[in-house]
Amino acid sequence: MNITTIVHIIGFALIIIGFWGMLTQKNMIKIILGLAIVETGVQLVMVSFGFIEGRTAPILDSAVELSKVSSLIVDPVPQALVLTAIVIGVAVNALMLTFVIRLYQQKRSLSINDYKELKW
Amino acid sequence: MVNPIYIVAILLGVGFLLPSFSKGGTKLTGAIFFAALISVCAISYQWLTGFLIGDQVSVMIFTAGFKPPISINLQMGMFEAIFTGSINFMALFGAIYMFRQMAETGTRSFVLFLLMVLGLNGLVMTRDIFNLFVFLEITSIATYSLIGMDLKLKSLSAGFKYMIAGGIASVFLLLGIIMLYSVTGTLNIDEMVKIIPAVANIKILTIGLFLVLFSLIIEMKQFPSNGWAIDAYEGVAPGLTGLVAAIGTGGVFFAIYKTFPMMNKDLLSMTAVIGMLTFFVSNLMGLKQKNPRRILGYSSVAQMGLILSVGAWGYRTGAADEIFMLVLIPLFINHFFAKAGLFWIAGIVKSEKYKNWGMIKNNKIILIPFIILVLALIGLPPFPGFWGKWNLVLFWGATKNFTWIWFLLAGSLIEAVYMLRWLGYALKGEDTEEVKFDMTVSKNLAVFLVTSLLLTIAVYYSWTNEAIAPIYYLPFTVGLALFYLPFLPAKIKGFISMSGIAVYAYYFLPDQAGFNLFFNTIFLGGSFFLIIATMHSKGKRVGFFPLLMLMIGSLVAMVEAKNTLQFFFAWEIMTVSSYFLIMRGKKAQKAALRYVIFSLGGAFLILIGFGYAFSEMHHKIVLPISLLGAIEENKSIVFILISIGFLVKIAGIGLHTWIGSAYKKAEDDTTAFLSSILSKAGIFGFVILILIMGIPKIGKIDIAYVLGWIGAITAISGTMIAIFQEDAKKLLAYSSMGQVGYIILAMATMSGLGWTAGMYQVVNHMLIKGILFLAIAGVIYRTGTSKMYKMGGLIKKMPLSYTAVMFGIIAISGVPPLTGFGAKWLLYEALIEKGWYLQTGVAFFASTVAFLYCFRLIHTIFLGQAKTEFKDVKEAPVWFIIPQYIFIIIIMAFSMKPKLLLDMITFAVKPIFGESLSWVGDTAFSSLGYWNGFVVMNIVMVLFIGLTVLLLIKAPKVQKVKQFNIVFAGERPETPELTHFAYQFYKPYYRALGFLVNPRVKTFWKNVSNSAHTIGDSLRKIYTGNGQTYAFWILMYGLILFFITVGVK
Amino acid sequence: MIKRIFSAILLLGFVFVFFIIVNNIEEATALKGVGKEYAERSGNQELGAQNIVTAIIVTYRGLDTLGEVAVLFIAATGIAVLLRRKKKKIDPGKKKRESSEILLTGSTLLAPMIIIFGIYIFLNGHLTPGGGFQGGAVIASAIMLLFLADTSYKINHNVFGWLESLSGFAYVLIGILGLVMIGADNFLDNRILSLGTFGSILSAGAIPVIYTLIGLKVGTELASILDNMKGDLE
Repeated sequence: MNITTIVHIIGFALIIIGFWGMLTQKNMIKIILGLAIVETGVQLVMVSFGFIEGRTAPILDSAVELSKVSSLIVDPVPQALVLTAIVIGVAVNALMLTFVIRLYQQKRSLSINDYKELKW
Repeated sequence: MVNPIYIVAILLGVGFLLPSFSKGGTKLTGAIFFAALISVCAISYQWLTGFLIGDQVSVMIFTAGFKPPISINLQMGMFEAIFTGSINFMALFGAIYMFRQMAETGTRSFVLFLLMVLGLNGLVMTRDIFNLFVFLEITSIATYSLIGMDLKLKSLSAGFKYMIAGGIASVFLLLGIIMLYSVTGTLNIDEMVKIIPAVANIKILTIGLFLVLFSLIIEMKQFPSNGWAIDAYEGVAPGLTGLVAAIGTGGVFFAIYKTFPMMNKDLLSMTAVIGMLTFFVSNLMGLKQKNPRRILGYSSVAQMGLILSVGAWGYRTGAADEIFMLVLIPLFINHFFAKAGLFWIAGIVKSEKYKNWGMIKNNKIILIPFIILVLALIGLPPFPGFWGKWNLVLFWGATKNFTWIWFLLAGSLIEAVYMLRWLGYALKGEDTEEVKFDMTVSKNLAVFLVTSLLLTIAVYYSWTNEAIAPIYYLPFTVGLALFYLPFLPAKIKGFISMSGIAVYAYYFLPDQAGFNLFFNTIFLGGSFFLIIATMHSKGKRVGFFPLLMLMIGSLVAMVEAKNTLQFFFAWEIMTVSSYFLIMRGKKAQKAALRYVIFSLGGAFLILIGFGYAFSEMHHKIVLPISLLGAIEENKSIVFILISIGFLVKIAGIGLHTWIGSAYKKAEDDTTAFLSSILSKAGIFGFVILILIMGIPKIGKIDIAYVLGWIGAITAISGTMIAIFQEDAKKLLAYSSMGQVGYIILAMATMSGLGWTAGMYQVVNHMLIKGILFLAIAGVIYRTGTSKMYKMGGLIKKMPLSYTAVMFGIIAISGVPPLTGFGAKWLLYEALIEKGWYLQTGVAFFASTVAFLYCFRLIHTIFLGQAKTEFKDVKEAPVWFIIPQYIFIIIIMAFSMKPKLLLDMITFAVKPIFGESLSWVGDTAFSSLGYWNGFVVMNIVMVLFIGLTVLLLIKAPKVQKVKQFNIVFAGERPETPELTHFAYQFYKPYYRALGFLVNPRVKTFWKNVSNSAHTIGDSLRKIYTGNGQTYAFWILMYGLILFFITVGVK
Repeated sequence: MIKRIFSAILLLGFVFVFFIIVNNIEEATALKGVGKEYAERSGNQELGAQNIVTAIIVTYRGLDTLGEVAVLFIAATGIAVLLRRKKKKIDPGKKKRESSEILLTGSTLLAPMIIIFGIYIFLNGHLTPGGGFQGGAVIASAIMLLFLADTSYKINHNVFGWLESLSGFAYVLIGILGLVMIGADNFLDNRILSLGTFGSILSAGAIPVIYTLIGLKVGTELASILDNMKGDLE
């Protein structure tokens, strides 16, 4: 098993763990943490898709000869995408936590089971 | 053309900068906010007109100076222009609606709003799949923030559920995108489409595609992973939900639509099925809802399901662009404006129960947009939704996807049920104190703008449709003109209406021949005289005359129709206008609902029938009616479906449950129109259908034979039900059903004699029911009741009405000398000639039984003892009397000289069935016998006069007796009720024959309705309200879909 | 319990799905598609940025990054809206305990260094790993340190607000400059400024400027999120 596969497996495992948290925890903060873990897993999977064994980072310092760049570095695109994904994940999580703060003020409860006034 | 990148730049730049101005107060920031929105609208408008009117071609806008796939690019084509245009304009309206709320919250809410609009514009324009994700997140996060803005518990909890769902969706989207990138090496959608066929690692490719698609399906709020969305629609401030339901789903739809070219056929089929399932099931679940906002939530989800399904279907069959323009855009625009407007109205009327909406009936500013938007949402003409559905049926018919048509129209019918039920409460519900209106100017302005824009688009669609010539709108003009003259008194409006009919007659009749001439004469002539009765009102009758003229106009238009589209268009207008006419009755809410649901059901069956017919035609051509005869394959299905549609209109057996209550609850003079004019629409339909298609056979079964029996059973059933009625109008309603049954029976013989009999009966029935319903209307007008047993002895008070009823029942029961005799004579001749002896017997029996109810009209209302409370009643107003006597004169003329009428009928029938009656002087000869109306009339006259004279000579001296100067069995009655046996007059018969009139059919339909409600109710239980459960459903749904589409292979 | 069982079954399904994915992933051995394209173009010093990821983020896929900034901005704004105070009510009886001298001195000593480190990160974004987002996050962590160490610490809302607004607006303006100076397809083009010497701090055209703006914006935004969430709400 090579590094990429291992990172993939870790990433997917994190996703499963996160989902487990989202599906079984009553506490809304834990649910958000579950989602955050899922996001981390996804980010890990994303970068590992760009990884090529034995190559260097996509920075053109002295280690990289400019004429052979494409045979020396790993894929920079997933790295760029992951950055965006991370920032967006942060934004969503922060906003979700804010909702929980406000919900808690209304009912003094963090259990998701207590917020079912809208249904059917 | 302004570079569309400026849409992004303006919204972002202003969004970033706006907080710095917050010190200047919301007036300043609000002004900047609107300036930004308006400038964005201006850019969109420029592109929109460029594409729609000018010859603008689609352009690509690159960023950073590189071409894709190196950099991200945006596209501005026709579809993008339409979508961004509608999004930006709707955003402007939404901003107007929400302005007060946002101003109270502060400048930051403006920022969120601008960035939400930015996200949607980007979502529509971008051609890069990862950029699509970014814009999706911009939209979502801005929307979440706006949802929570009011800090109410419901908004917050709905928002939290929304965010969980959105979070899961973006996780899958990211996974999908990176997998697609790993196999294609690009993020540009167009590039991907090119590379995908060459990808070697099919497994990863398919899973990537699936994940992207599934994520967007969650965002599209598809069943069953959409509980969070429906909760949000219910719980969040209506200003925002209206906007999200419109522009939010619009943007997301465009995003998913963009990915369709990448998808394989399996995934597209899956999407089409999911969408249709959502459409059907969500509507079913909507049935049980009582909260207007939740109703709209279910309806929104359903509509998006439909749009998704059609979009996927379009790519699946490779006719994507055509379907987009002809089906998706109208459906989308319709949903877009109607749904936003309705949500906003729901925000103005603060009630969580639709039963309390009766309060708005006196508030025209709310009511009129509400009516328009509900009608648009149901997809009635002339609104874009109608054109979308019509074109869709055309496409699906042409490609033989009949099951889809069934689902489409079944779902639409269910949607119509709950929307019209709600409308019914708004029009007729009781006043309740608790409901308050929020009459903020900005909110009403937004609703007004949306409604007028929708109307404008509706007019645009109708006028530009090639299949409908502008002249086609002529019959509707007077109705629309009258709509703008509500202030005139009823008498003047009646006069205008009559003039309008005269003009139509002058315009249309000379060019016509055959059955068209015959029916147009009936529709126009009958209405012309009946309108006199409507002028009795001393008030203004606001709304009545426009509707009446629309109904009459639609009848004329229906006769004029050259192609199936025109026919169906007119048919739907007729249904709607008559629905509103019935709704005008005092307690007509339920009756009108039942009427319109049956009518729409019938109309949809007709449409399905057309759909089957389209399968053999090229779908770009609207099928001319005359070509219905040319179809081969599905001939009998087409015939049966369309027939059932017509049978609904004429209340054929099994489909008649609406007739009693609708006729009873409508205004009294309206009922005369319904019975004597409107019921002939179904007959006309049959005439056209049979003339063009003939009556096909299925194997050995001759549909004509079946139809004949349907007619016969309708006749006997209507009559039987009629005799047990206590209500005069209900009695006449069922009588009407029975009488029209004869017509069907006669036409089913498919012989010249039969058709002559049928058409003769059409005229006869039109005249008689006009007389009887107007006479009864006059009586009700004076007595205030339609219960016959409460009346009695009115002969002295209302002699003219009495005489008219007398004529009416003689004519209806088919005894000599009046026209009814001719009708029956011809009918029996035709049936015997055909060899249908049993049917003859049934008809004869029904005709005899008809005497029983005819007798009641005379006996219970006019004879017997006068009730004390009616001792001061006067003769009915002259306005009622005039048309009755005009009809009597016509009946007398036709009775004396049947040739006058029969020649007209023969003129129409002869070219098709050949000569069936021959004439020697005034005597008509058929193959079986002869009839001379003049002689019969004279004989009867002689007998009548002779007997009267004899009676006068022979009779002993007349002694006048006072009312209670009588003794029964040693008792002296003191109240009129004791002397006049009227209540449950035929109770003895009921004991013997009552089982025949048990309301089996009614029970059947009730069960149908109940089971639909129950299924909907149990299905919606999956929406537990728990955000975690929703997350579970989403994941579960994803897994199931994965195994269905990807996993199996 | 039932919930757990169902969840477990469901997630087993997902394990299976992920197993299929991992099983079918083909190990990448060479760059392809746009990745290769970017590598070659950077080798030719097209944008003058040493860090290829930065070149992609700021210029090639600049629209994404603008959107990303917008997302963070929306979140910060949304949080501010959601956590807005209706009225300031400070309960004098419930005063928090003051922080210790060591904590205060230590944090005030550290914070400027952290901020300078953050600035270093975003200024060198086109040369070394890092950039505006990372730098901004580091700056915000300095503010967080101050919040944690000193319960009475307040940020200057005016300065932060203006900085946040103007840096964002300037970013959009730089984007538009591309349209004005070069052409209709050059929104967010970094070549509006000279590319400079490859590998030096003043190179890669507008990239350092953009990253500086992003750094400021992200830093102030995250700081204001922290400020809002710090919560003297009730």
